[in-house]
Amino acid sequence: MLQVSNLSKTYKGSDKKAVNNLSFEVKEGEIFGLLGLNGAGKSTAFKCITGIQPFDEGSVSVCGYDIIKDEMQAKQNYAFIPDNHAVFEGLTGREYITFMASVYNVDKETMNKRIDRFVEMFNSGSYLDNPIRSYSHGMKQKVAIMGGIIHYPKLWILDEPLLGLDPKSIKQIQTFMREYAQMGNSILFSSHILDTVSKMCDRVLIIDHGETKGLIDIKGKKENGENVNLDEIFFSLVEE
Amino acid sequence: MIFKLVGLHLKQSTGRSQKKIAEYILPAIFLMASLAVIVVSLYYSGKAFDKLRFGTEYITISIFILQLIMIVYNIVATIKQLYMSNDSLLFLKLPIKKIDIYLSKIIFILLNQYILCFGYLLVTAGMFGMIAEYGGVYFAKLFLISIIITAFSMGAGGILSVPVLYIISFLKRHNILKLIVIAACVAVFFTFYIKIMNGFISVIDATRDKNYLNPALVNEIKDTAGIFVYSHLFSDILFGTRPALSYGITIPLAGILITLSFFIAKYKYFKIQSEALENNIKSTKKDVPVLKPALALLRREYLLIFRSDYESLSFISTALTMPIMVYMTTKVVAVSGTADIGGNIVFGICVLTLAVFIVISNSACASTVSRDGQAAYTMHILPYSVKKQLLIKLVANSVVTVIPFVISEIVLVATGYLTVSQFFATLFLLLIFIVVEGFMAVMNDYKSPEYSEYSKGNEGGKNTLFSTLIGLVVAIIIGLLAILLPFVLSNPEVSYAALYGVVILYAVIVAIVNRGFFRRVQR
Repeated sequence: MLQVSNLSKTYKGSDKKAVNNLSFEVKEGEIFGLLGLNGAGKSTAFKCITGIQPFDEGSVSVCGYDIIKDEMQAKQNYAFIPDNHAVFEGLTGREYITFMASVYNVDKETMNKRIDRFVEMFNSGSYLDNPIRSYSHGMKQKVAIMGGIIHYPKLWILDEPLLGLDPKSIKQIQTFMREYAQMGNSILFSSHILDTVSKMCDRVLIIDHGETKGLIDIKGKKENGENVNLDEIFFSLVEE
Repeated sequence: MIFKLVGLHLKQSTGRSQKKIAEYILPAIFLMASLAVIVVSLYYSGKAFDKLRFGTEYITISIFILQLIMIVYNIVATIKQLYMSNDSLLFLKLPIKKIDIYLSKIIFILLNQYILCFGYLLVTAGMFGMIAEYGGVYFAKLFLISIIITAFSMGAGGILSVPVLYIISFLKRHNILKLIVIAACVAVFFTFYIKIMNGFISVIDATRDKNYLNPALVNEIKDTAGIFVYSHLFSDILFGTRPALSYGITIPLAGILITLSFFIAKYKYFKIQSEALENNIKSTKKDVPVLKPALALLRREYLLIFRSDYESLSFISTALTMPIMVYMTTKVVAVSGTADIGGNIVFGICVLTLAVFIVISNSACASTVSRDGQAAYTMHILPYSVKKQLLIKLVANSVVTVIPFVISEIVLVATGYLTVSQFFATLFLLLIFIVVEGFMAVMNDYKSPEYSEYSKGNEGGKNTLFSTLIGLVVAIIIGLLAILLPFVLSNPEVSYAALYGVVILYAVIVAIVNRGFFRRVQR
């Protein structure tokens, strides 16, 4: 679903690589976590993977499409929700979702069915027709998600999706992420909340200073009856 | 505490950060252009009125205009500072009394009002006093009437601000109606502006070579001044006529109004603060059309522009005022300049004015990416070419310049300031200028967008400043060439060729500067 190979990125004016030789694969139906401390390079990696920022070395392919050579096909196959939940504040929630549906060529009937499903899932019917600028943090995040995945992409990328949300919103989004993966889609998300990652992810890649520190197969370990203490693993790898 | 808060309000309003300057530079250029026209007209009309011994009429009309401006200004300032300001909620969390916050805001508005009033009186009644060589008592009375007028306008404005607030709240929920009302207000303002300017121009024109006016114009001026009974009382104070009546009405009336306004505004301000945390937004489900990607992007661009009070006001006022301002500027210069310099200057003035207003209007292109705020990242993740998205932004923003520009050209031809051949020559010349200027502005904003975490609706200030300054330099070069060339070259085609040469050179420079970057923009 997503293949990242030897990805490296150095920002202008910096002599340090923000992302250094990063390689991993996200499989179909998998929830894959990218774990790291603040400044570990998670957001930079996402920006390179989604084509927001150019990278120096390596390659990224989404559903077999190269993010540089087959840019439009690659973009048609993923959704990206950034950590700041930024959406067009002057639109209403419904207008934002419809705008995204238009650009992703989703027909009206399909869009309306999906909106109804989202409204039920996120209990968001009461505010969808209000201007986004009147929304709370959690409402904005939910609308960003609804607009982002209105075309039901194969790959869903989320940067710190649960940051600053209340417990109810966290629960709603976690439930939806699981259901989405069970439909055969893949999810790549970053977080520094170890407990969430441990509960949600099938596999986790730990990065520090832009470099891979370890790949943990949580699902595999759980299936083998092993007890996974992600806290311990994480700090042993990062502190090294 | 009250004066500390007043100091803070003053600091906030006069902050000289780059963004603040940029934020105000366009309205400032616009205002200065209007003021320049007014001051020149005032000087000449002041001389003319003095020559005709129409001092009372001149002062009466000037003060009526001042009162109108000040009441409108006060309504806006009261609503902005008291009813729609977010900083009150912040202050209320600090150990500051509600009444202190209210008083500090009132004093801040009062100071602004007084500066505006006194400044206006200096350039109108003050200038007239110097032309007519009045004594010191006249100028001392200017101080007195500036205090009375400030109190009157503040009282009237403060009382009227309450119903206006309700109208604004209603309009905020009805976007189309809001746009119509903004357009209507701008139209009314400029109708009034044209009427006043035409009045001044006709007086200047009528008294240029003679010391008398035709009786019809005399009666018209006297009748106009006669309608403004209340403003007439101030000219009575200045000239020392009917002292009991003038002082007896103006001072108590101003006192009553400002006292009433103080208590009404205080009641409303306290009420709004206590209701501030309640969320009263009404929701109505609307059927939103699913469009082709390009149309969806264009629709989003316009929705974001017209839902922002700042952007929509800039767009509508620029679109509506460009033809009027171009026409009025040309007319004033033609009246006062043609006789001194020669008729050849009119073509150049038309080109210069058009080019300057194009730059001001087209400045919307310079914040088109920044306006998207943090959501600008979507440009890169959507499966739609970034180059095409930039092109859509250029088209969406430039249309707002092209339409009033073409109308301005038609107005200039219809009023005889441009010939048909000059119309076509300048039409294509300046259309190229609009595209080049717009492209430069969009690319500049794309290269270094400016947005904060919390959208304020006026992002991209630095980019707007940069693009506007570059554009103004080019506009002035084009305009000056258009003014000078007809005096040097007898063949107009050669003049046109030179002007096209400048615009094409500008296009080439912009293309070269952006070539490498544009090639690297994602498809």
